[in-house]
Amino acid sequence: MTAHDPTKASDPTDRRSTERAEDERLVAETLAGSQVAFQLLVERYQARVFALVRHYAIHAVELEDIVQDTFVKAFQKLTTYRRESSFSTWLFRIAINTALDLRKRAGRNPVESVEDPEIGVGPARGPGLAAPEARLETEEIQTITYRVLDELPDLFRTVLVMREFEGMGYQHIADVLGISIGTVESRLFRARARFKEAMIRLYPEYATEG
Amino acid sequence: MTPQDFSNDPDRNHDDSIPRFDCETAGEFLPRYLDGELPEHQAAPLREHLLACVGCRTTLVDQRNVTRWFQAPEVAVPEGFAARVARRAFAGDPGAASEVHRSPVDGQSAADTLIPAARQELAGEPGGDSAGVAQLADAGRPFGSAGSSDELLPFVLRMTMAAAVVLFVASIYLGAFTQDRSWEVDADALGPRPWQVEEDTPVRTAPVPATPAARPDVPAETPEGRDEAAARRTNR
Repeated sequence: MTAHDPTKASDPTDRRSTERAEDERLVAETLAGSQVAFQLLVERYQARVFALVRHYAIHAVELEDIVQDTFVKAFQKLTTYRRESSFSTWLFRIAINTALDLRKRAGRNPVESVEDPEIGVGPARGPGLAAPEARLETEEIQTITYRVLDELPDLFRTVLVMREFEGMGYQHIADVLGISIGTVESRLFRARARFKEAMIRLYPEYATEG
Repeated sequence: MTPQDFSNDPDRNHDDSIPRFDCETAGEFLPRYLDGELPEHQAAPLREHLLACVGCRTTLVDQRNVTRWFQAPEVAVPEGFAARVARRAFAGDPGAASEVHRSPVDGQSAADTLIPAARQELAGEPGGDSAGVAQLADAGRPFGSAGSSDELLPFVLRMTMAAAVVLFVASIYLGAFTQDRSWEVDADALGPRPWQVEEDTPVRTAPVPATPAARPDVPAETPEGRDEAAARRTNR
């Protein structure tokens, strides 16, 4: 095998194509029956999947369950992977769906009908939102943020998680969610507005003069 | 409603000197500007607009402050997670997927030992030529690797069950053996013991009732009681 270290590729485009080629090879080897290849695939993406779905789990055991289910589902559906998108995009889509399914089954965040673009979006009227104070510990900030996120429909929560927590690009988010970049932009914009509203409602001390 | 619609809101604090068109355009560009994904040829005129328009600037500050509340915690992947998931996936037990992490057996399969070489080769490092991923296919087949934990677990369970049966039988045998007291030496045949009180030695000044029932303050199983019973057996 002539693979080389993707991290040593200077050009990001080259690196992505190299990573994608290696993913394709590991997928093919897995389909041929190699457990080793599948383990390597899991190793390549486990940290990113853990990072992505941890925002949907309420404790460590549940988080691990979601990630395990994600990879097992990916393994079972590997024959349906068409290679139209990258393996990571395909895998993250399974991860998000698995996490949302769990939340739905658990009866968390039942708000679903938020596609109406008029719902929950308002102009920047009223008080503004302050940034977190420097005195706050990171854990305190995270506690507040998750409390506010719980107030948001999954539609908005998901784009915020992907963009704000995981730093995913618009195109990647669009690919994973199967929507256009324009929809990602507007949804993210509205999600931030909803986050601000919920934050001010729950923590009025962080409101500023508008 | 699209982002540009926000800037059309009449309640916004717009500067009348700025054409409404500019606010709409700014509304379109704000999200990508905020996320650093707006090309410079579009970002430059947007910055000019933001300098002049309080409303759009407020919106931008609000949205930017929202992003500052998102501070991701560290990610901790459990050790051996990938190997466990791969084994479970290849074992074809999807229903137990959520039980993987609770598996008490975490043995090394033959495939596991080959993983470092494959990983090394994937990274393009020399020394990973012992076995490529393609060559490892056979070693990694679900049920083909000798000594894998999938085969080890039933073996250990069988051995544990066999040991349990042997212990059970042995305990029954020993229990029956201890029930047979024919080999016991009659304690009375050993003669008087130093600590034993002679039968005719008056030990009490008060009269002793005939039966324990008549003396509720004296339990039936006292040394005196046992001695009397032994005396009666000897007399018989």
